Amino acid sequence: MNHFRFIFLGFLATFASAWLGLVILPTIHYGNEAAALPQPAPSAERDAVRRGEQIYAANGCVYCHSQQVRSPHFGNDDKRGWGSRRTVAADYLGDAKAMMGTMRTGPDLANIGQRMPSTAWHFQHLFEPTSTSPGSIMPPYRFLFERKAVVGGQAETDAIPIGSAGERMDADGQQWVPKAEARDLVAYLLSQKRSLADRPEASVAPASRTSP
Amino acid sequence: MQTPPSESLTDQDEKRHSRTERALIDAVARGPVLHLFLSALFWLLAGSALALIASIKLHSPTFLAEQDWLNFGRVRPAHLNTMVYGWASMAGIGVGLWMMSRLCRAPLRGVGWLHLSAVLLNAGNAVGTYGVLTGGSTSFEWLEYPKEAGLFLAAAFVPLMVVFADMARRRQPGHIYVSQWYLMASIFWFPWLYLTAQALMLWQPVAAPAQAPMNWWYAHNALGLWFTPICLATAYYLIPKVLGKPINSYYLSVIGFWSLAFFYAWNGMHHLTGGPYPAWLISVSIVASLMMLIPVVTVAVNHHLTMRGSFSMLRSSPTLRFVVFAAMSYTIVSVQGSLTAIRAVSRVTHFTHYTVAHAHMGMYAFVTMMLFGAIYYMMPRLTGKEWPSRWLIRIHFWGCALGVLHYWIILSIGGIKQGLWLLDESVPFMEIVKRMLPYLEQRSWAGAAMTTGHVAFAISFVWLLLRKPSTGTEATLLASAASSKQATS
Repeated sequence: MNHFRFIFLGFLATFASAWLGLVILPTIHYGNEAAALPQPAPSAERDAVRRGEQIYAANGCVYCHSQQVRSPHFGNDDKRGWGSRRTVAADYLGDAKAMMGTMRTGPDLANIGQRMPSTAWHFQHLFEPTSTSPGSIMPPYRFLFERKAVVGGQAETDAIPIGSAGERMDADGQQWVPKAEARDLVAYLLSQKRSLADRPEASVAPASRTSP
Repeated sequence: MQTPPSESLTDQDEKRHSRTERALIDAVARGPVLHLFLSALFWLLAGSALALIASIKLHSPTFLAEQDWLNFGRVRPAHLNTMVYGWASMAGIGVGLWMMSRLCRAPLRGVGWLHLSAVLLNAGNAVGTYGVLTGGSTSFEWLEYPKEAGLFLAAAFVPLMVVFADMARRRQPGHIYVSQWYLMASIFWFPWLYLTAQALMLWQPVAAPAQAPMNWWYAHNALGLWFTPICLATAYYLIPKVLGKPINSYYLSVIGFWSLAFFYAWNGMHHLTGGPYPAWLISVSIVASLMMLIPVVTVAVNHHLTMRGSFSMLRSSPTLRFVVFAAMSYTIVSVQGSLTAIRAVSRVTHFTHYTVAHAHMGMYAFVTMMLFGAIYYMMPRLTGKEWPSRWLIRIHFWGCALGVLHYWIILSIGGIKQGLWLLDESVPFMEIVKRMLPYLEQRSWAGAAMTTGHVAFAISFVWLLLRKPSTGTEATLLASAASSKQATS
């Protein structure tokens, strides 16, 4: 007896049901929401953030850093200071890539631009993570910086402090300056301020249970 | 149903398949399958090296830190993708092609096209790995290869779908065994999965909030609807083959298949528990994940009842040892997965190394070990030569088995602790980082044990290929065959 054709239709039908529910439905729903969003005016800063998003993706920051704040009823992300409210889908509508993450080897970055607004700190941290965060296991991102000669005796303003007294120049007259990639990446990090936007859907009613 | 349960694979096999027919099927399959296996072996070794580098970096972050292409955030996805698309996919396709050909009793047609398919898979993996290491990673988990690599990988499936459909069409009349269902389904499910993800995430990206559900629908189903069906087909085929007795219940295997097909497809959203999504989306996957207990338990019961009375053969048969280890791992990892999907558990384990341990139980202890078992069975039949050294097989098995168990146990315990500490804000974050270091160091040792196993396997494999055909006609068993016999066919 030949039932294979019938069985084969079953393969496709079971698969299609979930495909419609989990892929096509969210695509249409969030696609409509994104389309309804006013387009932000083009700006150099916005372009830098977009390029920085690519640097963030290319170097796999997402494998250690999430970008989502959970509800106070589901974890204690608020108490760790990662954000004043939970993140909601609308918080990501302006992103090109959703990098919400699944791992917290390092802290959450959903609001890192608010929590750590200093450009100099971010450069220093990327260059030598343990210099700003003792005990960190984040790899140093030296390749985002270039070593070059100091011209005129004065290091550039954003050269990394490398000496014990904060000098920006080593004994050979060399300095470490952030490359364009590092500047873009930091622009992206500083743009992560999701808690600032007012989202009524993020408000949570007091719950009696810890896990909703 | 069309066939009574007694009319099972082995009976049918013994009765109707002639030795010459099998020899012809094996001879035709030899070229493309060896092409796939040798390629898979290369990616297995490459992926192991990348895994070790990534693992060591997590506790010694200055290790190989100068070069951008060896950065943790690039090596880690390079490891995952070479293992998924290089090792497991290519080995799985090789195993699937041969099993389908045997079960349909139809010698492969389109051998040249299958070689092309293997070349495309290698090209896709090479382009993809190069892209990830040189800064082209997409950072979508399981889909990190740059989109150009996806063109090669997707194209490779065109000949595969045609060849599988052709075998199904030319099959000898009679009962369709459950392995054929699994293989036939997976070879069509995967391209659908992959093309959807490639098109809607890389080529024409959808709005960012829709990307994360699609990412986890893809990643979870790449395991559930691509590797799992191939590996269950292997277990259903090889356990009765090696034991020389039929599978316990035909009906259980049918229930197992359809419940897997339906419920697995709805999994994935539980990776977003606590995330910025409506509750229904996540709940649907939690329910589907719990329902996965049905196919898992039916498969486990069916295999256990088939194995009953024959467990002593685990001492002698290398194939059976790997396959049974893998089948047991499937039960464990699936039950663990269903429980982890529950919100109360996920609240602790989400965002921790517990998930990493779980993923390796699935892709390694289940999928990889199953493929090893299949390769041990197939190679002597494809080449007419036996495995050269039982010691290499022992090193392979114990290195991998103990390695992955150590990995799973240490990272599960570490992950649960990590999760509990994260939920306790009195423990500073950097303190958690420090407390995790011993677990991460142990992970590197576990990885080293598995890599040792892989090297032993590679030596064994190449040695077998280089051996003179006249030597070694006795099956290489791990213990005296006096107490147990291995069925040959």
